[in-house]
Amino acid sequence: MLSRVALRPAQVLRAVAARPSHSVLRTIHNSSSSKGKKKNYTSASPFTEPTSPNPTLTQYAKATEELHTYGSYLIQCLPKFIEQFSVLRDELTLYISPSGVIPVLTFLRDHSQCQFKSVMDISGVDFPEREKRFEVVYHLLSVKHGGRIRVKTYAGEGDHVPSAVEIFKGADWYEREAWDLYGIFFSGHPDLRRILTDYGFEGHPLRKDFPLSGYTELRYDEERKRVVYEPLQLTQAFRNFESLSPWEQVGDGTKPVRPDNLKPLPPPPKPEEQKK
Amino acid sequence: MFRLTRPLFQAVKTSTGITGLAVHPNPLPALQKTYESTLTALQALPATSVYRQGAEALTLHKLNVLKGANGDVGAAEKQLNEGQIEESLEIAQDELSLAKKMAEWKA
Repeated sequence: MLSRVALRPAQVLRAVAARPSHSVLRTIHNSSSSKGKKKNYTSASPFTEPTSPNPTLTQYAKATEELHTYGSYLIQCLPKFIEQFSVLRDELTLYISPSGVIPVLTFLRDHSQCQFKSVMDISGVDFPEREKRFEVVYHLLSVKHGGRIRVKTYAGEGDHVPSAVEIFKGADWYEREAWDLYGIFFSGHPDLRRILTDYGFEGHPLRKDFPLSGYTELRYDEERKRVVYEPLQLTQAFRNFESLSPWEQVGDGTKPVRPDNLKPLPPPPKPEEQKK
Repeated sequence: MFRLTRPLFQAVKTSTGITGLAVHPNPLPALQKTYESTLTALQALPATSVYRQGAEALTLHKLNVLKGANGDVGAAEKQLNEGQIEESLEIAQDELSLAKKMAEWKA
C-alpha cells in the first residue's frame, strides 16, 4: 500500500515530462485531419475509437443530395432573382436580394413543383458589422409536398424590403413584429405598426446595440396610483455590454456534403490559347 | 373502390372536405382548358428558360394524362396524384397565373 502511494508521484512526474510542450490552448472538436496543415494546439487525444457518427454525412446524405438538385432547379428557374442557395442537412435556404422578394415568393407559392402555400414565420437577424445589417428570413411550408424552405434577404438600416402581405396574408403580423423588434421597414405593408412593445416605446429591442436593460424602467407609484416610467438608474459598469459571447463556441464545424456534379465548374479555358 | 359509381359520385359530390375549395360541376374540361392556356402562356418565355422547359414538360404530361383518362375523374385523379380533381384545378390555375407573371418579370 505504502509503496503504491509512493509510486504515484513518480508516474505523474514522468507523464508531465513526456507531455508535448506546446499544449497551451484547447479547442473543442479539433479533428485529427487538420493536424498536418496548421499548428495543433491540443494535446493528443487518449481515445483511439472514433467519435459518434456525424448525422450530416450518414442520416441526411440522401436528403441533402435531393435538396441540392431541387435548389439548383430553383436557381435555374429564377436566375435573375436567386443569388445562391445552401443546404444544411435537410434544410434548403435560398439567398435573394430585396428586389426579388415578390417574384421568388410568388414562384414558390404558385409553381406546381413548389406549392409553398403558407408562411410559417418571418424573422429578422441583426449583424451590426455588416453594411446591410439586417437579414430577413422567410420560412415557408408546403403542405402539398410536405417540405419546408427558407428564404433569406437583407436590408440596411434605411432600406426597405417589399412586403409579402400581398402574397401571404399571414405575413402581416410577422412583418409588424420584424418592424417592431428590428426596425426593418416593409414597403407596401397595409398596416405597419408596432405589435409587441408597450405604448409609447422607443427603439427596437432586438437590435444588438440595444442595451439588455433597456432605457427606461417602470414601477408602480403609490402616490399617483399608476405605473410610472423613469429613466433607467444603472451603474455605468453594467452598461458596458459585449455582443460577443463569453462562452467557447462550438468550433470550426464540419464540412457540408455536396454532390460532385453540383460543385461550381471551373471557368472555361481562354479562347486565345485555342487560336494559336 | 367505387370504380363503377365514381362518375356518379362526382355528380352528387357535395363537398371536397377542404375549406374554401368548392366542388366543380364539370372539372375535366375546365382543367384541360387551363392546361392548354398555360402552354400558350409559356410560349411567351424564351425557349432556353428552364422554367418554361420544366413547366411545359409537366403540363404536357398532365394534359396527356387527362386525355388518356377519357372523362373518368377517378382515373385522372389517381394518375395526376395531386389529390382531388379540384385541387389539381387549383394548382393548374396557380401555374397559369405564374406563367403570365414570369413573362411579365422576364425571369
